[in-house]
Amino acid sequence: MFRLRKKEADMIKKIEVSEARFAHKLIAPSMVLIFGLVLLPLLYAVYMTLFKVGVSGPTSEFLGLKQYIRVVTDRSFWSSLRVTVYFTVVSLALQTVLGIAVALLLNLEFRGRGFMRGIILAPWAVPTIVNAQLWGWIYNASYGVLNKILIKLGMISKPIIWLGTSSLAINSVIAADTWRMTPLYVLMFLSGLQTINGELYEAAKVDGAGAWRRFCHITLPLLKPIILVVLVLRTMQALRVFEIIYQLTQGGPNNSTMVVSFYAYFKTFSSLDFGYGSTIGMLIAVITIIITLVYKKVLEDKEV
Amino acid sequence: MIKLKRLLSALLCVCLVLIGIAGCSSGSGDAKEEKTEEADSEKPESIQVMVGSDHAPYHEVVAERYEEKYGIKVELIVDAYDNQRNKAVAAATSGATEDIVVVDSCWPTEFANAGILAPITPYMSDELIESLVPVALEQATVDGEVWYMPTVNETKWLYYNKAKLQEAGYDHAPATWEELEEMSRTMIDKNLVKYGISWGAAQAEGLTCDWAVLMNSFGEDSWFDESGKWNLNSEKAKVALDFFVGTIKNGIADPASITYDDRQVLNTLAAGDVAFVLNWSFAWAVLNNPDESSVSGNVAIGCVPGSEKYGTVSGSTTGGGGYGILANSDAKEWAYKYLEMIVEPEFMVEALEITNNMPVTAETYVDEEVLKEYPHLEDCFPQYEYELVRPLLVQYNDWSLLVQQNLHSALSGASTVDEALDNLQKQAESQITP
Repeated sequence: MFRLRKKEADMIKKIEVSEARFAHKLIAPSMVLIFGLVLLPLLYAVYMTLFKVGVSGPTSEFLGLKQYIRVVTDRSFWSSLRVTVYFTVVSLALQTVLGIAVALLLNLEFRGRGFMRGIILAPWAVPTIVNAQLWGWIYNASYGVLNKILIKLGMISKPIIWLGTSSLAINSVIAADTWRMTPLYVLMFLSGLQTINGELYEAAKVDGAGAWRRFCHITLPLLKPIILVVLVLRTMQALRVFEIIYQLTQGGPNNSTMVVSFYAYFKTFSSLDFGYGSTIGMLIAVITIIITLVYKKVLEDKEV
Repeated sequence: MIKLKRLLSALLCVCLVLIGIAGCSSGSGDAKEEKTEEADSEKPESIQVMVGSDHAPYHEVVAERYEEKYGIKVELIVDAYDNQRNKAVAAATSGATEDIVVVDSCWPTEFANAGILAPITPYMSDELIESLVPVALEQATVDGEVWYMPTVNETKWLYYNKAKLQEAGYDHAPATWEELEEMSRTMIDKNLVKYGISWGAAQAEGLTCDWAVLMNSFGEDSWFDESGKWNLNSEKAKVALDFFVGTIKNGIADPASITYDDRQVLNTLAAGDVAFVLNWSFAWAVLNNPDESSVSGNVAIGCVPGSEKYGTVSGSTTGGGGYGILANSDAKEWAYKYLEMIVEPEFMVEALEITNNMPVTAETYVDEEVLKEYPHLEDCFPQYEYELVRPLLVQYNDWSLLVQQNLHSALSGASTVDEALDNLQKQAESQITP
């Protein structure tokens, strides 16, 4: 009896081993691809930050941390980082507020709600580069529709050059990005709102809580997990913002929209300084990882 | 678990070996050079040519003739002009098999220094050199070597709406900037136009070009002083920038100019809202296309005005570029034969017809038959005498960015003319090697 059980156990173990082998064989091609397409370029990028790299290839000249020192002592890098942080903070704040507001509206019962929920996603379906081109025309000072509307409404007497001055340009870019990205927030928040039990609101109403108190004490705390997830996702994206800047302003005017990704692109492909561009890339990656860890900590601390 | 770790370790080792191989292959340039030299005389089955989509139609014609003549297939790799720089760099760094790449007039020093291009001087005959418009060759030459075959003879011209000028009582184009200002004021007062001129003054390369045009037309003929140091805040440069900024402040120029690039600026002339713009040769076809322009047939082209104050006739800057041979090409000799064919006068006329490409061959501008068909060439040719080539620098893009930032600062009112140019001079002195 005992022998029989041992045999069965051996057989089960063998099957498990062969299944594990089979699983390894199945994932091997994906692993090779991941190593080839992710790890290899990553290691090469690290290598480029430590050695002198020309267009014709890397050299054996070891630079150590010289490139990193060059970057952190470069005023243009810090300036581009400031612009990136401004873009990230303002766009995330604006988009979160708008996202929650629109999601709350779309969570109400009204006729045509399904249609509205569908149509609200349209901007998100527009590719970033097309969105940038579209807003380029909207903002066109002489022929853009925005100035035409504002002049018709009597709100301005002469055209505003939206992309011509430092303060206006970065905020105009944020507005264009907000138009495209808000639907993503709406979608996520709407899904969060639908998981909130309606009885909580009923109970609060019975206790005499107004709309604002219900929002602050029920909606917002219960939406917090989804808000944090969206913030993590969007922070990563906003820190890497590139296409809209490339298409709309090319970093101008007077470098007021020179975000760090565009600066890295400029140094890499315009100045052909591959090592410098890679170093900026590495520093952005480190900053992104730190922010992710902070978010993770916040998520864990709040037990959400 | 242990096996999974082993598998991961094995894959990591493979990756590291690959890195090693990649490193070794990149470092073994000498061996490759030897191989290239050997292979150079061998006739290849095909050559690969990267071309901008705008110029692709006439390359198809040249490629067909090349195949007939040499029995070598020409593979055209067509993409937007804006992508050509990155493609050329990628081809050079990745050891790709392309032979010929687009070279903009701003890139030769940088590309030559980075070892991307092979010089074409050894292949060029004296006869060919003499046949080219001198300024086209001048901007392709760095340290005595020609790095690409100029195929587009670009410069900035003055485009103007001759119908509006006639309505305002003028029968000629402005000879000086002062006259342009006066004409603009008259046309604005008569409600013929919203503004006199539009500039392509967004923070982009077009701004550097317009700046070079203005500097030169106000009499500045070098970026450097006699000792070879930067000369970016000279008196003439300041007068030129003062004029530039002044046109925007006093309503002569469209204030939205600071957001227009070279292409967008054309919309204002095409819509009939302004009377003058500076632009490259491609603008001729755009402005005379009735589908795109409301002023088609009323546009004329001519020399950029000079300065009454400094007694200059005109001034402009060169542009365009051509095609160069990648240093890692295995068929340089055959690639050169293709370049040589592009600039045969017969193909230059073909290019003019198909893509409005300005010829680089001097004889085309005096060919009576050509002039009969393209009379505007006669108005274009004199501009080539008044040119300031943008500085041929290894750090050209860094320099150009500094120019754009400082000029834009002055144009948008964030700094004064003196502050902008003094700052530019200081930054160039400390960051850019002349």
